[in-house]
Amino acid sequence: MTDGDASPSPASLSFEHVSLSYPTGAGNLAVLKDISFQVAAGEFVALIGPNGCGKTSLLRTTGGLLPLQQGNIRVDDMTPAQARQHRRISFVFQKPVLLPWYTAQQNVALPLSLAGWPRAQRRQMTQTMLQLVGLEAFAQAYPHQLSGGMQQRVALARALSFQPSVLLLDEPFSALDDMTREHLQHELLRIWSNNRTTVLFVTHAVGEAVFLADRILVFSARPGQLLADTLVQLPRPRTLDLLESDSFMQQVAQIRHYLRGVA
Amino acid sequence: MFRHIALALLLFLLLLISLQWLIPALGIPFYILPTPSSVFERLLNPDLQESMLPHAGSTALAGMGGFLIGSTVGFGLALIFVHVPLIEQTFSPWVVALQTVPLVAIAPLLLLWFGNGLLTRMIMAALFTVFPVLVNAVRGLRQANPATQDLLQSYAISNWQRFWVLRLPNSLPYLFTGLKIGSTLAILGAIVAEFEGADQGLGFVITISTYYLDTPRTFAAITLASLLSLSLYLLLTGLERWIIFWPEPA
Repeated sequence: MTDGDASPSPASLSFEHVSLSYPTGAGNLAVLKDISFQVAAGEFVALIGPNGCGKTSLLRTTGGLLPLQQGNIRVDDMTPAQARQHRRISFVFQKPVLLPWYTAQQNVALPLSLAGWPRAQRRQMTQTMLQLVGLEAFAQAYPHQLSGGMQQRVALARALSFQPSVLLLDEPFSALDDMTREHLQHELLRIWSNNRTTVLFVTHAVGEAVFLADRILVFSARPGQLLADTLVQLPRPRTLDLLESDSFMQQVAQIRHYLRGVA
Repeated sequence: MFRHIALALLLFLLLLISLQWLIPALGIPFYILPTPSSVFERLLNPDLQESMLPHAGSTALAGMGGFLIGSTVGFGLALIFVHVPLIEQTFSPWVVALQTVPLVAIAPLLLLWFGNGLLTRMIMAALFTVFPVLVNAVRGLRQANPATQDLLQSYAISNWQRFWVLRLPNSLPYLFTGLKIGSTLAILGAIVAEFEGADQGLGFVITISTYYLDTPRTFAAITLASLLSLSLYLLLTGLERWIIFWPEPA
């Protein structure tokens, strides 16, 4: 099911028997149950499942935003907390979460200045990143002057600016309209093909998962368990034409089938 | 916006004109209700201005000086409260208790302790300013969007960095609310201290002029006091719009 030892690149992420529950008034609510999988460096993995199945919680635990309760998670052979301290992981959330009092440029530079990068390097990297997402002309614009799609591109540039080894995306395009979403999915693939960061991408859109990922992990309804771990058999680079191809449709249908087994 | 202001001014003008006509027509004596023109004469006649403007300046100095001291102390306390929970837990009951003390009632004490000069009036104005600034600043420094907190936490941000990057700018709209409330209260505080025994200021003018039934002068002093509060308020509103250029998040 996983690449195992034979893989040339070491496992970037490993999850062993991870379980998670939230305390509620009526006892503990189990959110994730015994999750185990590995992600190779440079792999693009989509996590898909019904709402409330714990995929977001898994992402937040991986990024060190939630404490690990049971099991073991390693990020580049570090605990999530260590990986966070070493700035190995980076988030993109459903909303862009830009600071409204900073320009696009200042928002992208924020993690760099927090990490103490020297000014010259910071400026250069910020410029490169804005160019990468096609917003160099909007460097001085404030978030409220940008469209939702542009804001999310700034968030993406910011997330990649400090060159994390793992990118955690939590339904980053779900708040956008269809056209912007398709465009940004394509952009994400283009950017990712340049730097090949390891990606965990949480989504509940089947088509999005198939279009973007190398591999799809299907989760059951709460408590989330791994139902399937499938490789996406589509060549790269992938373009929007692919969305109309038969093989794309077949893989979408396959994932739908897994998900229907859930309900 | 401008239309609203124009309409409000027009209404005010109509009110003045009808009072000017109505007061003599009803035979109301000037010491009960002076005509607008007699009040304006107090404000605009150069010979009579001497008895008004220095007092307005004195109240402005006491009020604004007290406002600066009070808002600095209020914001400083807010910073300490937010960063040192132990201090907040110890002192917040005191703050609540002190807030319920009618500040007007302690004015005679302040006069006894600090004399009838500028210092007492400034302290009074500062006391009126401290609480609204403190309460609003604490609220502003506390509030933060959970998603932004998550983001910054993922960057392994230090508390100090978090303060400059997030907390301080986030608190500004709240801080300005406190400052605007505090600004009108500061002028009020200065005037209250002047009522209780001072030899200067608009509060002093109001006390003296009512004593001599010089009601036009009382009204002129009230007008100047309102203008003082209003200009401080407008100054802060302008400053707020200039500093907080971003739209507030929903």
